[in-house]
Amino acid sequence: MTFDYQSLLIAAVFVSQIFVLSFYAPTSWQRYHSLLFKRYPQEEYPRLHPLPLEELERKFAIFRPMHLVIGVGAILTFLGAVTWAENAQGFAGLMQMCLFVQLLPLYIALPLAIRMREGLKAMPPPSARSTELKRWRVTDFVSPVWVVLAIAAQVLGLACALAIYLYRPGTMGIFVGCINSGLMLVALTAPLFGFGCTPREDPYMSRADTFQARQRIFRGLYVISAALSTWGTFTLLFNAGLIQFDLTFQFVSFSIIAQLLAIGAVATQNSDLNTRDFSVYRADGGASVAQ
Amino acid sequence: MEISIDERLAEPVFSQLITQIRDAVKSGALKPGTPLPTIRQLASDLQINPNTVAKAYALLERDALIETRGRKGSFVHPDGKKHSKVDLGSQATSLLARSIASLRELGLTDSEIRNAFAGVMKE
Repeated sequence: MTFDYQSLLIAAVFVSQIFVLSFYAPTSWQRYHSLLFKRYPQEEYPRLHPLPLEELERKFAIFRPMHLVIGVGAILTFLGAVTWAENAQGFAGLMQMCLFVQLLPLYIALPLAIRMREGLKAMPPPSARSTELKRWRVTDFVSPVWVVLAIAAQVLGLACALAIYLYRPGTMGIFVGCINSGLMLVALTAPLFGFGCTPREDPYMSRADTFQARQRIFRGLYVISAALSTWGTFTLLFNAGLIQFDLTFQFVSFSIIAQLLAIGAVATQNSDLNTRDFSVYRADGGASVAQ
Repeated sequence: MEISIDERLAEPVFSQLITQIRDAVKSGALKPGTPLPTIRQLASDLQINPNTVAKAYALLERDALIETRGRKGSFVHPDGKKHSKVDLGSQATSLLARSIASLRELGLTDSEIRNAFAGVMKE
């Protein structure tokens, strides 16, 4: 393979993808849980740990070698691609394939994450609890600029899908584009009109942390949906032949988005460990009134 | 404004909610027109049954302390402060006291009054 600007970019993104998704993020995730159990032991903070440490360690014992094997496999694929890939597009295709395999442990860990979350929610709440008597608005959590951008992106996506349906009916992905933008539009506008509610993360979380958790949910919803819709619109326009761009850039952007999400998740966990109020989870009811 | 409940108290949870919202309206902590959280939101925040919040809101609405504007949700009633001073509980007590006194004057025993009261309540 000839080493031009494009292949060098793919190589750099590929290497960083292997490092971030197979080594950095899994290690950080396991380190976070180990530190959580070390700093806030289960005997002292039973409300923080719905699952016993032994069970988590058993799961980690499966995930650790799985990430390692996938990581080593990805390194070998990278070396093979550098040697044998015919062009930049083939190189990027292999990177994309590796990305899906590297995300595999995430899907396998999903039931465990759901169990932990449900376990926390199912903890019996304290007898005395309080909250702010305030009707929350979406703009309390996320900037109006993002709300407008996210909704505009969905409207644009829907309009593009409809226009392409009228003028290039055979284009691939019109129906999916319409459904995606339509559903996202409903999901984004419903909270603005007071539909739905934002449930508590768990019965003990402090008021400031609950606010922050909700802020993350709303920011994630609006920012990610705006980004996804923009990407979907570009793909649809590409499929319709109205714009031209190299597919390798799409693969590169996929990888960068996945890496950024993983780094963001790790940073959030680390920040939580240092800033979150864990005293509310103490067995002696560090704060008997959940706020 | 903060609202709290304590399940260890003898007072039912819906009544605790009513008392606190009434006091807040009376003191001016909740101004007329202030939007209140939705039933589901408050129930979720306080980890209680939505029916409990719905019952409290219904009774506050009956007393014209709050009003529900369709899909827009519940708000503090424009005359909520004035209405918060009306104590329907003490009015009911004084009406019942007068009726019981009249019945006693007629010669009814307390157990006969209790039975009559229970019978009327059953109807």
